[in-house]
Amino acid sequence: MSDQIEDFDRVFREKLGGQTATPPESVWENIQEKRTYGHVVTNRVMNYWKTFGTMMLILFGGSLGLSSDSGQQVTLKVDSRKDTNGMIVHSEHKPAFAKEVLVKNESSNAIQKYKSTNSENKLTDRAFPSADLLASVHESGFSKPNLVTDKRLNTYIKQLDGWESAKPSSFVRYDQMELANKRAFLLNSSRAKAIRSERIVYDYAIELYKRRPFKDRAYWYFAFTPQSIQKVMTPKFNLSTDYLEDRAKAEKTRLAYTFTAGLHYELKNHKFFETGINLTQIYEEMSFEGEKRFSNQYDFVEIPFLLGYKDRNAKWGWHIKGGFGIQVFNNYKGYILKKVADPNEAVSPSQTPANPQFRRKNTSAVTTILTNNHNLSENQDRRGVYDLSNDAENPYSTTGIVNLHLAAGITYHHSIKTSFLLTPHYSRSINTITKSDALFNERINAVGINLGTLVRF
Amino acid sequence: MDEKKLIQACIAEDKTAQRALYELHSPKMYFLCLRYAKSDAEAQDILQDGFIKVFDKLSSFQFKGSFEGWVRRIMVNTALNYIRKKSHQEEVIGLEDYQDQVVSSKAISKLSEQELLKLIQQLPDGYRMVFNLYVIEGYSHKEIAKKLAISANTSRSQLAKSRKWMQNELVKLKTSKHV
Repeated sequence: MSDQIEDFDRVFREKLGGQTATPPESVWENIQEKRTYGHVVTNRVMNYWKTFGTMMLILFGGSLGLSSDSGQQVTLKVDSRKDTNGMIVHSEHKPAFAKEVLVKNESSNAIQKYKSTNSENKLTDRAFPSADLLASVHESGFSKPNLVTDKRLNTYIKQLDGWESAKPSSFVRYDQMELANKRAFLLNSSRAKAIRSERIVYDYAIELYKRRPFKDRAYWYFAFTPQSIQKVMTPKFNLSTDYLEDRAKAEKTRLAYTFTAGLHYELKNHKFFETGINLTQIYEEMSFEGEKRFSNQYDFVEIPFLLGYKDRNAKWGWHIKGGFGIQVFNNYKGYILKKVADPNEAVSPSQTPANPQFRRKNTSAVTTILTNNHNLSENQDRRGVYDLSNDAENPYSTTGIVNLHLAAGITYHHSIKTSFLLTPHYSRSINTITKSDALFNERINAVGINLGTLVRF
Repeated sequence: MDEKKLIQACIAEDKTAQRALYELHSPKMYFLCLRYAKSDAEAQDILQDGFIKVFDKLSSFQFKGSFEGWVRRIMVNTALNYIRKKSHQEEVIGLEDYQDQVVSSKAISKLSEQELLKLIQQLPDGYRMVFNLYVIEGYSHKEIAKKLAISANTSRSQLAKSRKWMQNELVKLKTSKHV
């Protein structure tokens, strides 16, 4: 019986083993077309990098010099385990990498070093990352895995600087990532098994990582947000709206900004939490009859609690966040217009400005706000204004104001440690910033551009 | 131009050299694809994907072994991936309940290559992959098991069923042709 089987197999092998057939011409045409398209894509990527490089040069004053070497990106060849002919062999049964921390003092130009010391390396210089790699980084890019033992991958990671991240779910491969079907890893079906089996030709796979430690998830967050302010004032009881209209006409915001310093903490699945301290300063000037009469300054110290979602595509990413902030300490200086000037009101000498000039010469809004130099003009009756430094007169509350924050923007992942953010930001007071016995309610709406940076712990 | 120079010219994206390389290897590879595919159109798709991979990965060929062997293995892997992807969308058909039939090798050898090819193409995908890999390519059951993510026993059983089914079909063919 076995002889018969062997004969049966042999006939098939002999008859079909070395046969030829001529494929139609259209196959070659399709190959040409597909490969040409690939080159077009790659060229576009290269142009993109040139543009980006120029932008960075301008932005950082040449600190990121584009030498001929630094312009080179490095592409990993397709297979990590090869036989003598460079053929792909199976990698399914062994996860390609175990956990290990990357040696920190690795040279910045590690590729060159590696190339000079490893005769069998499969790295090829190209002027830009391949489209496949871009796709794979897109698929894998987000958070940093505990790095791996594969020296070539580490070198590659180092070279790409900041593209090191891998989504900590299931297996991630660095080539043909477009084939990955994440759902397959969640299933225990024959279909999932079949999809998993495709990984046998994959090159790099990273095993599921355990929960990342605090240090890998946390960033310092610093931001400066120039703002445009809108005050929403509503009268209480029988207060005439004329007063508020007069204020709205007279008050002109010359400076409004927020400094933020805080913690940005990555949660699961691209979500993050942000908290810290926001210091907001608003500086206003009041004019009547074409003359600047007085000024004021609001300082708000706020603790924000924001939740967000972020994603990235290689170096660039986007984020959206929202939440609330509680103002824990507000400070007010200067003056605001009083409802009605009382001609009989006594004004204490200490509150009378020593220098009746509106502003010192050669001072800017910034200087004024920093030195708290808020004086009355000589034509301004002291009895016609509330002194915000005087608690008895100040209608504003010093704590307990809750603000809503909404923001969405883009992120540039500059390096493993640092990212830059550009985030249009909207905030508004949920409750009034005035005291309960004040004659009016006042809420502040702010729209600004948040210029931020994230620095890894 | 010798093979090494031809390959180097292809790496340098010389279109004439690429065409020459394609013309040199495509007839054998196309027949290989036909064995794995169910139809000519499928075989052409596999050949196309396979050659795109060959050209893309050419720079990783180390000139240490047969270039044709290297291309052949890329084609086989491409074909297997193609079939696996396609199989997800199709119902898996099993081969059961066939009688043991014995057809002499002499009788089989009288059949043309095209007839044998058609016979193989009629096998369900999984069986066809195992049959090709074992009988024609010469892989062991252990290697097939790894490649297809199945057990070696499944590979053996699928091969046995394939043979049995083919022998039954050959008997029918023999009867109709009075071979």
